[in-house]
Amino acid sequence: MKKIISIALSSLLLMACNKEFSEQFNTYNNNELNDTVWTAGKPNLDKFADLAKGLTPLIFGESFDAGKGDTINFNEPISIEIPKGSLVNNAGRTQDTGKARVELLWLRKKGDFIKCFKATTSGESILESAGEVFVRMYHYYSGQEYAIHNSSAITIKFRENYTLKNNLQLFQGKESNPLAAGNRIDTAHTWNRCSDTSYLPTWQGILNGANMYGYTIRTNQLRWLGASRFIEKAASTTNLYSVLPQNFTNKNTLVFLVFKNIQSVVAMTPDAASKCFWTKNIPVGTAVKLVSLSQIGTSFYYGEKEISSVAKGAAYKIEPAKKTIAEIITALNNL
Amino acid sequence: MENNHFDHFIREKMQDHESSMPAGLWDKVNPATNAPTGKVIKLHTLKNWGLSAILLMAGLGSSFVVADSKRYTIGEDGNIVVTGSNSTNVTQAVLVTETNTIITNTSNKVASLVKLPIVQLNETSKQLTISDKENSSNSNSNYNVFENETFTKFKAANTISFVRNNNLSNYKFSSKDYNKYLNDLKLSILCPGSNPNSDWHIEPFAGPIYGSKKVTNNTATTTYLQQKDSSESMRIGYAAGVNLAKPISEHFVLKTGVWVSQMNERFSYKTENEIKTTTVVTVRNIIRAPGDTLKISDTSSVQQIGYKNTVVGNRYKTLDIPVIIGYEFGKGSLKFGINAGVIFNMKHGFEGAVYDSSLTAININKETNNVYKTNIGLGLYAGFRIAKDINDKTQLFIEPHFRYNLSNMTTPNTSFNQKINVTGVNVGLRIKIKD
Repeated sequence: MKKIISIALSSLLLMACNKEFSEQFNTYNNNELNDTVWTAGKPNLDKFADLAKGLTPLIFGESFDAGKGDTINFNEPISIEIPKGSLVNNAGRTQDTGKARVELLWLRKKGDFIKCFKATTSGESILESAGEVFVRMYHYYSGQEYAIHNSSAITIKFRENYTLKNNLQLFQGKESNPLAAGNRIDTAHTWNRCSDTSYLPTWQGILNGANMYGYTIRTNQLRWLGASRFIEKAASTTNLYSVLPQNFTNKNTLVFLVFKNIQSVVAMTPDAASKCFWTKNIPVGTAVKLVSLSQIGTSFYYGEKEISSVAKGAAYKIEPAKKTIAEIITALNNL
Repeated sequence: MENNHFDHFIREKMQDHESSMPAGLWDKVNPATNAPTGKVIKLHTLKNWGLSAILLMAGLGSSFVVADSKRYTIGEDGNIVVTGSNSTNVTQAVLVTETNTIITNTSNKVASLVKLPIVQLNETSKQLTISDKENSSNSNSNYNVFENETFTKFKAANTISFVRNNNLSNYKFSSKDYNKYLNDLKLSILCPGSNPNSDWHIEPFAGPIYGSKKVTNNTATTTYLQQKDSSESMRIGYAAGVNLAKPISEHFVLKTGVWVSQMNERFSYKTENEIKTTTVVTVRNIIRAPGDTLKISDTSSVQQIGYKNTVVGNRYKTLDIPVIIGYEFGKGSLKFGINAGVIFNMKHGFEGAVYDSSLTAININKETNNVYKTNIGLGLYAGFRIAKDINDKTQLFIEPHFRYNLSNMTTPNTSFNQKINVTGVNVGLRIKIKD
């Protein structure tokens, strides 16, 4: 009896004194953060829409008389000259009356290329770019897009921010078909050198009151235009790999390789089998920086990995952190 | 008288003779398996527990003395012995014999018992006085024996005959019970109206408790009260303490002491959009070229998002000083008591979690507590005690009890009023610390 009482009492007291604390974590189903599976197919990057919209640089816009043409100097050191009678509507006829509007997006720096998800590559070749321009013209009211008459050409002058390069060529952006609408990221985009392979003329003078120098593009093509050149072939190139924590997959992350000393950006290719991003033809010993952009749910992540000298066949780890759009833009501007 | 010559001769020769006890005789006289017959109880079969019965009976007997101020006369089994006249200090009479020896405190001669010695116990001197049976009324023939002397006599006889309310009971006892009996006997020699029990006791105890919570609205929303109700549930806690008990009469005991208690409550709540970070080691095999595989072992953290169910053990702690009065009664080694009184709370503390006004769970400790009072005031106590003697100085008791707190434990600024009444069972020991 005494034993029973003792045991019962001890048990009760132990139970009474037991510190009760527990936490049970239950993951949400269908939440992107909990999805760590890589897709073997082509990832749908539509979910980057918010990120793309937030990162898009300022687009210049100006209206003009379609029949008269115009030369428009934007506040930034870039100008566009539209000759009289150069616009052709979608019926193939010259647009000689009415009000038109020109929009121009100018990517000057490496961070700008990434903001618009436009790498400086042509196929597997890496380009060095002095700038990329997106230009389109349309009917002011109807929004109908215009083209440039074959016998005419628009002239775009823009400033070189760094050392003037003398052997740049005109490249045209090849877009996916149909065109990526809205803020969708065009993963099929690449640069093709135009048939006119002559070097772009440079200019030097006063623009908007400042002594500057830059390049002149004359073309009858619209949309994506680039002043670029192929980088010099290195004696030794290598594949470069990057790995990220499990939360970052090819469904929510893009990784870019940014050359430190030249204006080149390479979009790295995801590999679902090894769960890494990779690219090739990177000169060994080059100083580069790996940049990752992720959108998981409504959260944005940014990661950087600086590599002072690329080693042959090496893999580098990026650890993204949660950032705001403004913080990401600041980081990209400093690349 | 002539017929008694032989008896006189034998008595004179044998008067001062004591025969030694053969080894083991006592055990044979008091075998454990001896079944009591009639009103005779084999105390040794109950071992130490049985002694309590004697103590109780002695106590009851003494209380009878106190109540009636009568002297006891103890006669042989089955006979009623005539009680004597009033007596004050010397009151007790005991019969110690295997058969029919009578010890009585009265000087009255009893015809049928005239040959029996009379033993008187003087409370003041704590001596037993054995009177010659034929000169019992003659004080000059009395002689004093001390405890060690009477021990042999008690030991030789194993029966105590006890008359009360004209009913005679015989009790057998073992030699080792003698001292206890003697103590009991001393306790019985008391003046009318005096406290029959001058002992002091301490009562260490502990036991489980369970709180019954009552929540009423103050300024809280209905949603808040519903959420609180669904999140909180009481759990078993514990109480412990030490009482100092003083019998104030034969049945009544006054107690005070220091009590501590801890009521436990289970507080469970759910939080959304919790991020869980886990460190994992990932091994990737990158095939750079056929036959060229780069193995990357990467330690990194993985985040998961979800909801978290958290369970917190809330603790309500009290430090109290009770003032309890108990009424105790019972028979034999088993005793009962009814206790009631007031509990003065000295300190009340809370540790755990509660919902704030936005229904977010917040942790509260001593420093941040502004929900619960630090003193919950008075409480009423009621308990029922069952006790059993372990030995002559120690009792084991178990006491189911209920505590009703008179005031709320929440501060006036809190959006709800809360009171917890406590039910529990204390198990402890009553230890005699002072005779």
